[in-house]
Amino acid sequence: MNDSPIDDDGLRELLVSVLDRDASDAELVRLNELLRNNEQLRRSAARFLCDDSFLAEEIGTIEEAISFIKQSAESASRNRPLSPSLGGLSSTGSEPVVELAPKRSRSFSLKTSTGNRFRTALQFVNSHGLAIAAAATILMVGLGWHYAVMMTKFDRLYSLAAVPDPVEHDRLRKGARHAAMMAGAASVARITGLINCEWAGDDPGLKFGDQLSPGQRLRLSRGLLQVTFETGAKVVVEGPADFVATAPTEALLSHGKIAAAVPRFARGYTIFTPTAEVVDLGTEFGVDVDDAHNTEVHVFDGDVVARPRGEGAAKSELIHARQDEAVQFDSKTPAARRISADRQKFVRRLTPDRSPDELPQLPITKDVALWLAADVMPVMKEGARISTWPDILIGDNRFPDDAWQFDERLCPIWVRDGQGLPAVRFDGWSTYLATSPMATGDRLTAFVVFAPSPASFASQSHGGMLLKYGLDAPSLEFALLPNRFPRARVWASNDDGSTSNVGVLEGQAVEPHYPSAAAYAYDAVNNRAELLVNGKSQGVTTAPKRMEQHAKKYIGTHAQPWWEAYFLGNIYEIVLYDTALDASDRDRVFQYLSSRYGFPLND
Amino acid sequence: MGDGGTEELDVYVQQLTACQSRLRGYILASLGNYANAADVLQRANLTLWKKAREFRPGAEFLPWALTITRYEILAYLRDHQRDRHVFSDDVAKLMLDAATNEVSDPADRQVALRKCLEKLPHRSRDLLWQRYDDEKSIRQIATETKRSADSVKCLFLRIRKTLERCIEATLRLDGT
Repeated sequence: MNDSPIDDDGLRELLVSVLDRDASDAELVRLNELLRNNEQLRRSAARFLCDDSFLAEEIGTIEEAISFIKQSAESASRNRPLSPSLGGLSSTGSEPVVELAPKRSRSFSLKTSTGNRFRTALQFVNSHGLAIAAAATILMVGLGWHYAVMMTKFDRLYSLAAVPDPVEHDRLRKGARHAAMMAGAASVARITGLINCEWAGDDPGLKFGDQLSPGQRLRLSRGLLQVTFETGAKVVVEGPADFVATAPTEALLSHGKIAAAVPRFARGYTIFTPTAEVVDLGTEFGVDVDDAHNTEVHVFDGDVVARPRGEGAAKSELIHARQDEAVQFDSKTPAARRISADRQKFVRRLTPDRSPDELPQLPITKDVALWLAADVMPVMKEGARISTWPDILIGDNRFPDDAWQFDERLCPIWVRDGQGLPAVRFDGWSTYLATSPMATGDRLTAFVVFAPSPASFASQSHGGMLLKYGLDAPSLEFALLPNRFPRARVWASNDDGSTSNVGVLEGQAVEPHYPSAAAYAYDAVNNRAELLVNGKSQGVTTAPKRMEQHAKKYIGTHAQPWWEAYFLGNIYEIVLYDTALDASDRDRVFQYLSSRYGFPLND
Repeated sequence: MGDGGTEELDVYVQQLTACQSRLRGYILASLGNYANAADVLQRANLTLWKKAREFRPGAEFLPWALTITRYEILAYLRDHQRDRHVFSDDVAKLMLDAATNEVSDPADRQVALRKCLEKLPHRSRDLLWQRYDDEKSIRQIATETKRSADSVKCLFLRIRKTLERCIEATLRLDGT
């Protein structure tokens, strides 16, 4: 190996050989050595390679830009919707064509350089789009233009990310197009579970994690589909059914059966049927619409109010139905009548709840708000991607706040650790899970059992997040700092509108590779916060700010992905109580966790 | 991205398209391989598109895009750890940091580059065109022009150096 120093010219010569794949093994080793040990050379190499990219971008784009403008102008002069695509235009205007490898011309003039084709396309649309719309004097043209612009945006971005494999290309394109429509129209819900779904008519191709746009119709001929609305309301649709997610707070059921579970903070969620309007008051209920459009409403928990729709409906009074009550709305008369409730008629969960005997023996089940355990999962296979970590329903925990990951590349994986204990493995830089919005109050206690890796990619300021509440203040952060010190704090708003961290506590370092349990109790009512690690208090401080909120709970990351706050290691179990447990109850929970995961108590 | 209004989407698209060369440069600086960089750029764009709705309007776009791209690069390195890379993992990460500074520079280096390209003699432009538009290696250009690879490489590096000096001078001038 040549260990002699190198100047800038020598470095660049080496880089050109590397880019051309002409570099020998010895040269690669030398390049790595040089860059590893010399920051100045790294800066120089980075500049050279970044400039290389600018050059590649700059050269040869002019002809395409001119071509784009010409075709766009032609399109405008014909007074029809503009349908530019990234690499070229579909002159037919119906389906924009993505040209993956546009031909470049050498006959360029730098005097007319307008940057790159993307900017040119955008500038053109921005400067001329309005005029084109104004020229379109009929509604259809206007709508067509809007659609074309939307599709242009989609195609432009899609082309940036186009993949060569035709099958994958089509699949991604379809998904991206769907997402594009969502982005412009705001999704109302997501698909969070499917079992043996068969569709009437065209298969919508829905899969786990897909978003539903307002008014998207789901015609299920058989199977079970779980739809989770942006508000947190969950609806299990049982085929055959005809269901439309009309808005984040309402849906239309024309035919078939659904079971809805609506968190308290999302009350007001409404189901319309041809003969009834059912307004939830924070509850669980089922709706069945038969072929004659007769509607039955069965309340499993909480309350609903309902009234008939159709002729004479305006004169009808609201009907209040409580737990274990049911009401029927007949298509032939506006009057409703009470019937016997039947819980068995509806499928309320895609994964049936387990009986308490089958579950780990959590000693305190009062005020449980969320309970996740790696050994209570639908799929427990080494290496399986975890897209759903189901909330275990027990005691006061009656609403399933499952934690999800809709992007399969960002799913943590299920593993058995070195001791054979089931765990969910987070990779420290991309994987995380999040619940749908759930309510928590001013008093809470969070337990997390975890085993960190010795290394961490997380920043010192945030650490690897074990549990994070929501996006905005007030928000709780329960993290493991890179030196493996657990830290908990609440980010809260002050009276003057500023924000600050309160209840900040840091614990002793935990061992890598082995499970530890940390608990954070935040009690804004009694102004007291305490952090415990393996049963031992790490300190007490004040809890001066309110914590009540309803938001997603993030596991393994901060809510904002650009913060380097991903947890690297295993998480075994999370128990969240909607109260500040007293010392005796906390001890019982720690004893239970210690017996399951083998960490020494009060060590 | 709020409720995803078309105006917000428009801005997002504009910002994403405008930073393509920076993202590509960022990736190329950490991977040192054109094909792999193109691959990772595709993935990063797809992820950025999927995450469009998570972007807060008004927030700085480039740091957001660079963070997501950084993860894509790390994912690529992880998924291809058995492959032979130009840079070892530790050097690739150091190069990521160095490239972050380069592409985060608020001065519009690309605009300066455009101005400097205008000033290049035709012969120099022709070589750059063969290199970047026709995507030819130094060896291929040498074969076609019947010259030695060393002389072509030498000329190419001289052009690059001239351009770099011109860019620095242009940026200094614009900054005063």
